[in-house]
Amino acid sequence: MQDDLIVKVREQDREALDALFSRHMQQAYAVSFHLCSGDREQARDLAQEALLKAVRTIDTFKGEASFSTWLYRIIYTTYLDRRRQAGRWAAVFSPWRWVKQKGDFSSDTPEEPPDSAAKHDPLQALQGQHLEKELRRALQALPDKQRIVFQLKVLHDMSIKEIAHILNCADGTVKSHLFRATQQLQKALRDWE
Amino acid sequence: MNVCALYKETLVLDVHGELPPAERGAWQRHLANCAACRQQSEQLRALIRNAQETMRVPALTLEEVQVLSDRAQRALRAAKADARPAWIAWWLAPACATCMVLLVAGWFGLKNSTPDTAAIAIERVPAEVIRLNKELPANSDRVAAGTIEPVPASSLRADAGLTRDADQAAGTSDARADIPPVDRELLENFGLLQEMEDVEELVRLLDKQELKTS
Repeated sequence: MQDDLIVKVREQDREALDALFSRHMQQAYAVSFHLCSGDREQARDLAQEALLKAVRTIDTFKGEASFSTWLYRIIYTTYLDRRRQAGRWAAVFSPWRWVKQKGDFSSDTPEEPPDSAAKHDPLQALQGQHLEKELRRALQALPDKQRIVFQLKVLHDMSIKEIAHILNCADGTVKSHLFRATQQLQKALRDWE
Repeated sequence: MNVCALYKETLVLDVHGELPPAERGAWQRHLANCAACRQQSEQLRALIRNAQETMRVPALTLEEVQVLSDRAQRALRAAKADARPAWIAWWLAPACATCMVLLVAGWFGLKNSTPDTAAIAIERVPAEVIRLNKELPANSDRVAAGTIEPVPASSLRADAGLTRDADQAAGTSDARADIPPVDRELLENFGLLQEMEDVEELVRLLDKQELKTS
């Protein structure tokens, strides 16, 4: 089914392209959202750019991993490119503080929790908001690779193999990042246990 | 309570659902007997649950998905329209490189082939002047030795029309007498001219000698 869709996209079928975007946009946005530390606008741009790249280079997709994993790898590399670019601009304009530095997102007002059930119990909602804030802060404090591995594993339920493919590293490296991230987060959130 | 050092990694892999089946049996047996590991395992599971619950991604609405898809498709079409023909990509770079090489080669080639004014001046001396010069003693030696007076340089400056004047002079019986003064002066200093790099240098030398004598 997916193979058919990809074959049609390769043949530049517009309907297939539409279907591919609709099918993967949501998930691409979700991964981008976490990579961009909760910045919705950046996440939208990143997801769109990555999907565009995927369609443009779809001939290089060999089917060794699933299309989603391949797409997430593109999202990840695009995210790294953007961050490098932002870093360069930040270095140039640092005296003027024009460009947002990494970690600025954590200081932004966090997104509204989508869980409306929590709103029925104000205490629970408040606790949830505080916990979310603390979690975000603890995640931001992690080294980039550890944070991304933890997010992909816990929030996107990916296997270690998939994450290794996305990050282009060995399974053992992913396990090591996951182990350290979990330990660090547990230390940082000890008060919430 | 401290977690057993041997099972630290196993514990983390287990809570993330990544423990290989071969290790699961031994781990379960250990967990049944170790309260510290059990407690740690529960805490980590709670942490993961909390993270999953509080950090959910706000889903895109259908409209948002549609807008993003449309934008992406438009960008794709625009990129295709702007795309240069494929042949330019491989053709343009070598062509530019070749042009640069030719330009550089041409520049240095021209620079090295600037005319040798002395050689040109000698080439312009007519055959008759050369023949007459052979009959004269080596003037350069005599000028150097101070036995003869050098010809004033001012008369050598106008070397234009040299060939024409010399050709006219070649037809007369007393060639030396008919040679115009400019040519004669050149003729008398022909030996010196051959040693000089160009006419200007000869003029400078003669000017100096003229100054000395005056």
